[in-house]
Amino acid sequence: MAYTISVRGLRKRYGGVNAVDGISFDVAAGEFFGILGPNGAGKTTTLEIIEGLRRADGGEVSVLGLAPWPRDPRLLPRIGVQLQASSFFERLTAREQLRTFGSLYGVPGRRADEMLESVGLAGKADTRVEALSGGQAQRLSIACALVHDPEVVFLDEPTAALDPQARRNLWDVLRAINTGGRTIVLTTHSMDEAEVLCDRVAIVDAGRVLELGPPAALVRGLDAPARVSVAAGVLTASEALSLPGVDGAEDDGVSLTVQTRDPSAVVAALAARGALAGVGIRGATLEDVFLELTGREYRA
Amino acid sequence: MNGVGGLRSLSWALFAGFVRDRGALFFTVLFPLLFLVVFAGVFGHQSTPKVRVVQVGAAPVLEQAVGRAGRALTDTLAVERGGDRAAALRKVAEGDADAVVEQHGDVLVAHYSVADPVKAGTVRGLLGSIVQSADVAASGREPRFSLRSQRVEDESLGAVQFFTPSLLGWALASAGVFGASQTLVTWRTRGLLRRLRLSPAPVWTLFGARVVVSVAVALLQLAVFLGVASLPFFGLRLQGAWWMAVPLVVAGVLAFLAIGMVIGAWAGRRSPRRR
Ligand SMILES: Nc1ncnc2c1ncn2[C@@H]1O[C@H](COP(=O)(O)OP(=O)(O)OP(=O)(O)O)[C@@H](O)[C@H]1O
Ligand SMILES: [Mg+2]
Repeated sequence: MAYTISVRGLRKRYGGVNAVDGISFDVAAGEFFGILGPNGAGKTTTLEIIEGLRRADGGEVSVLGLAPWPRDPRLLPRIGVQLQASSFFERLTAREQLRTFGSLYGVPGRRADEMLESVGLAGKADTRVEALSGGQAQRLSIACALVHDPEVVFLDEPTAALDPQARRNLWDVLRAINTGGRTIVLTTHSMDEAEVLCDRVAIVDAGRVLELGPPAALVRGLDAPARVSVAAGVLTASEALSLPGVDGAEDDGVSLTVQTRDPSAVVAALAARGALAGVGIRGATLEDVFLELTGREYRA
Repeated sequence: MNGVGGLRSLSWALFAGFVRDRGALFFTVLFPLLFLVVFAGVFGHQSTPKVRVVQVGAAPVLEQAVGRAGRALTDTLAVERGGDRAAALRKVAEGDADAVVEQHGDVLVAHYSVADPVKAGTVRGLLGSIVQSADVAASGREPRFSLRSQRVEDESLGAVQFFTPSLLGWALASAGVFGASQTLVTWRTRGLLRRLRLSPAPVWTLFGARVVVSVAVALLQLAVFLGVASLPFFGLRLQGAWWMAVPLVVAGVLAFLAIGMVIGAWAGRRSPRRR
């Protein structure tokens, strides 16, 4: 079996909606795979079919060489799942919660406590789950998915409710797990998260895979111009257009943005004119890829 | 994954969640106990109520009987003198007295109300026996037969002996039904059932844990009830094969648990999938 996860022609219909409309991809062992798309794209549905929570209307799935549906007790200890909505036992503390989940997998309590530490919740160990903040609850839910050291981890929007600091901490945790040889599949709305974390991403919309590949390759394949912006008022748009290498210029009243395929020449010209106030340079991102693929602005 | 470990940790999680739920604790333990206190206050030291008789005019038969029997009779019969016959009859009609008694020559007349047939029966029986013993006395002979009455229950049968088990039964029934259905519904609406489905714990352990916890809670209720009712203030006395209550409680709680699970499965059916 070459791939850890293999998905072929997956389909799922809800009433008149094709939530998943023929999705195929493979995930290799140790890969960090992202499923990226706007609300309602079918990310959760796809993930839940792969986890074995839902039955596909069509297509084939295999995880670690086994079929996730019907429920297979041999597969379950080898996968870890964080669902989109956190689900906890009522009125238990964070530590008790994690220990209970751990014991379902035969994991000793000590290991559960370590896990709590690694998601930065050691200080909240004795707090009841109802009293955790949204982000803390999400971290606990991720810890519950990881407590039994699974080979494959599924995370549904793990960083959705986190503050930037916690988000970066969690990225570190996930990277560490991935470096340890685990395969991770995550869904996200966030383009930068996918760019930072994922080896490969599948961009999904309306139940289909629009594009699949390493984020850098997708961006490069787009061959989109870079954007250089300076504070508005230092330069007019028509002056900017006359600079060498500038393909387009736009002034929105706050900043002047020029598009170029030769950003160093543009920056040099701006510097020569002493017009570098508030300068920023941005290469193309996955958002541009999404825009290119769907013809619409990416709205997470 | 062995099911026993899963059963143990799920049971523990459920039990801890229950003990920390003040509302659930109140309704399964404290609330029924509250009724025990109320019932004990109302019926606790109840003796057979006296028969209240209003005597109009002179009634030597009655007066002599009371004089002769003394306390033996006044424990069950309270005689009150009433001057006005019409007023006395109205009292009976309104239930403030049980009978009006007057004597015309050798005839003792009793006016009673059919509204309370038990009281009416008591009055007629009581006055009948008074007349008969007066008759025997008038004949000048010693009475040959006598009656000694004895209850079949032993002396401990106070009201607390029968309302403790009935209140306990009610407490067990509601705890069994609510506990089971609520767990199923909240586990489902919170998505916990889906999450547990992804753990290797066998499905039977989810139900098993609920059964274990319900039985434990029921035994706890039994212990608390018996403990409180046995306080001198309530005066419950355990006797005979009272310990047979333990298997009975277990059987009863299982029956109500089954009902609760059906209700839970039905009530949770249309709940949201997530969030
Ligand atoms: N149980 C369900 N019943 C009916 N329709 C559903 C159900 N679950 C999902 N859908 C529909 O299927 C589509 C895909 O939903 P899904 O939850 O997979 O999206 P998603 O990509 O995870 O979105 P989000 O980013 O908001 O989490 C949506 O149009 C949704 O309305
Ligand atoms: Mg989703």
